[in-house]
Amino acid sequence: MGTTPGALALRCQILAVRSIIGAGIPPLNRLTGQAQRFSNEASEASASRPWPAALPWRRLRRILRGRLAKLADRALIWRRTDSVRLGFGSITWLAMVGRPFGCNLAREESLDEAMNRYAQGEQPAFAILYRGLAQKLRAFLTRLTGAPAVADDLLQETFMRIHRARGSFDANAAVVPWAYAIARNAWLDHVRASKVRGDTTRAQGDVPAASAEAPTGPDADSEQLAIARETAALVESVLSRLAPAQREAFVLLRYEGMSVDDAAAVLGATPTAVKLRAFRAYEALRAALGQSRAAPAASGRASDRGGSDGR
Amino acid sequence: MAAERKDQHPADAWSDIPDPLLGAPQPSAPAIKMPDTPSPTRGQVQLQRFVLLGTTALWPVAVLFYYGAGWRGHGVDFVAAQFAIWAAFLLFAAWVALSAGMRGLGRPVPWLRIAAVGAPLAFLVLALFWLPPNGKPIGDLGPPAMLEGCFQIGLTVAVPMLVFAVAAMRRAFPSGAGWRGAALGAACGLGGVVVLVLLCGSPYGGHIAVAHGMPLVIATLMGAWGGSRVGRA
Repeated sequence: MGTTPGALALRCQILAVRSIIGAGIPPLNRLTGQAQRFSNEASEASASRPWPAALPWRRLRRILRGRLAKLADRALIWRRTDSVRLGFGSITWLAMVGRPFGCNLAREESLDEAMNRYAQGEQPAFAILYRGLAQKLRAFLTRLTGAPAVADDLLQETFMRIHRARGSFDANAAVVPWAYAIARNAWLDHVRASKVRGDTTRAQGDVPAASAEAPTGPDADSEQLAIARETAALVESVLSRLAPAQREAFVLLRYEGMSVDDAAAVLGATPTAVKLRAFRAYEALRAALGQSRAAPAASGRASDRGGSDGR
Repeated sequence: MAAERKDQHPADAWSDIPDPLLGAPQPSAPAIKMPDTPSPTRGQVQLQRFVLLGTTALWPVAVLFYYGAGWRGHGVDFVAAQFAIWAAFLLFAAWVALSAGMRGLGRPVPWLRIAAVGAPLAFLVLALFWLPPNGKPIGDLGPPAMLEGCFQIGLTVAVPMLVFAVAAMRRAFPSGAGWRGAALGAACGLGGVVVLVLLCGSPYGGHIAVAHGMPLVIATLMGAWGGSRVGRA
């Protein structure tokens, strides 16, 4: 009949206490030798037994907590702000309540935490922050500038500004809109500097051989791809002709998926003004796309007519 | 209908405009090292703000003591009411300009506009139409020396306050920097107004509007400039 590790550990403790009480303080080597023997027995017993039955309660609790934390970190589906602490005597348990949340939100929360740590002077948090924000900001800046190379430069400038301003990041703030606002400032400064220099850095069609929602499946034929590329280039060129205020409002609402209130906070404008600017941009884009779709149709009709007249 | 419109995100109806980046190869963002240049941490910034904003708050008190503090002899009710109104407006403008708001991007722009535009306007209107008991007509500016003296005191209070406040909020306005700076400037200009309310007993409406109001306007404009230059993150 096997002895459980818990019982063995208890026996070890009883023996140690008895030996101290009954025979005074025993030589250290004897006591540690006995403890070692019992400990070896315990580990052998636990190795031979199936996993959960042999675990002491405290260790089990620790393991469970660790697994829960890992699960939460991996799945990223619950918000820490929605958790409550329930007290049972001296033990407090973190109970998760509330609704499941999207991965993005949870990631943004961990980004907020990383920014908080970075603001407090913890340097390694910069890497987490960069990993979480760089792609988003790069896409945002590429849509604004229309030139990936310029967007890369502005991305560096943005992170430099984030670094300089980290101390002013509020502990309860959200880092994503804050970073967007800083990226937008970097872009506006770039636009102003370009105007002063008199150059137009927004190169036409500089966006990577793009495809606006390009059909990439096996059915995608070359004509569809060509149309998608053309549309992307057209959207890009119309965006480049828009006023910066309209362009940024449209990009934030349409492509970055921000709410009107968030976009207004990022742009430092009223929600009504943001909606109006974005709507004007939309009208301009729609008109341009409508013209581009109407032109081939008209030319097609004209060529058909020309063909029939010729016959 | 209105509720439907409010719930709907505008971009829901704009799906016919394709994203020029969607489907395009997205290269990963270039790797960058953490900047080597030192930057203040939150603790250092908070200490800096505590010192500089503390100096901002103490400066008008120091000027008041230098010129001789105390309630003026006549029209104490008028003085007390003016003091209470402008001190409250000052606190509102300072709170609106300095607080980080829900998203950490500052308070909504309409609030900032109320502080930055509303303060000078309200002051001019009240100064011209709510005169002290022995008040003189609106167009009367009074003695030029008195005008110049009050104007100087107003600027002496407002400008250093603004310099300290803007220095405290360096790189702290990621968005709406101009408006937040203007609100901060209005708060500092109101600091000058509060000091002048306690010091100046001039009954001339024109004097109050020009000599007391101009430092407020100047401080607001300077705040807008300083906010967008120094305060912008």
